[in-house]
Amino acid sequence: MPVKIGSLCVIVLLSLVSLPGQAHRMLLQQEGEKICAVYDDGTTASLARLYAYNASDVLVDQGFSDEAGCWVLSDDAAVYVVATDGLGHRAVLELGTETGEINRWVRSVVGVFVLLGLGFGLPRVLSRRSRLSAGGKDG
Amino acid sequence: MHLPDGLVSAPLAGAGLTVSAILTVWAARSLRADELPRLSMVTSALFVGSLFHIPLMGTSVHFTLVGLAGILLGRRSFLSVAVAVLFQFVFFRHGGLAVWGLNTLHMGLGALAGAYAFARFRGLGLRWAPFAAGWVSAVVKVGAFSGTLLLADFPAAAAATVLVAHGPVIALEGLLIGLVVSGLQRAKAGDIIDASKNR
Repeated sequence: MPVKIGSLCVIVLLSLVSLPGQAHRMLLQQEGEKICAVYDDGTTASLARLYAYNASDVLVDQGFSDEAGCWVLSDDAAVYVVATDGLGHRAVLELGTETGEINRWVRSVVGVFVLLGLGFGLPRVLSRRSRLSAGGKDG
Repeated sequence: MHLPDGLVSAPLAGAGLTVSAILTVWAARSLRADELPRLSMVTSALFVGSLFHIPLMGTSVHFTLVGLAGILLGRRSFLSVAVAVLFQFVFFRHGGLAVWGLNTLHMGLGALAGAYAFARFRGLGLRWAPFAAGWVSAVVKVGAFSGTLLLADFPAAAAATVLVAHGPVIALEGLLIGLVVSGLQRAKAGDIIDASKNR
């Protein structure tokens, strides 16, 4: 292999330094009557516009998030809320449901292992197969 | 920097998917097995690279390191970006499946621009060329993203805000990539950078 594995590790190690940070996506959280829009790095989405819809997908309420990223829903008929910040982020929350998510660290590590496993494992599998098929032809 | 599902029309998402698929096939053409370890390492870096984040102007922006991918992988960087964007959706729900093509296109074009800029500015030396490549890649990436917002009938002010909000990130990404490449050189890992020249 023309490139040293050890030196390649520098790239991934440099990136792993950032793991305490979190990925970047808008989320909606329900806190009683309040709906709060946050990015999943913990930043509040204070520029979000929120739309509440009923079961027939009819808009029943809308408003803007405050400085804390929150907005008070005033219509009881709403079953889901859509938020957008106008900059390409969008989130949907079905009211009354709770979402459980696996720790982001775990997901990051699993993802990296899958990628590295594919990258380092596939060439070995391919070379073993080619050796076996070459051996079969010889035999 | 990742569009979620539901923001752009199906034809626009389809167009992005088609162009990305063509570019991914081009990037993967005549890929050798011995290139896979390098590809997977850089893809891993891209996969976690978007976890650098900066809260800014009521929104949140992040690094993508696509310029680094361009420097290290050349045209293969588009393939690396395509896989990384897919993994970011699968593991972080970052972006969307229907807009995978568009998100890949934004960042993949940035990576290719980074590769081109690095080759073009190589004469500036390994301190400034990576910075220039990182800067150009970030400008192309953010420009492509803003262009998509305009095509998706977002107001021009939104596209302009995206550009302004990413201004510091564009500069910082150039700086970060410059530091990483300089670090690789100091670690006598210049073979990583030079190996991308023939791709």
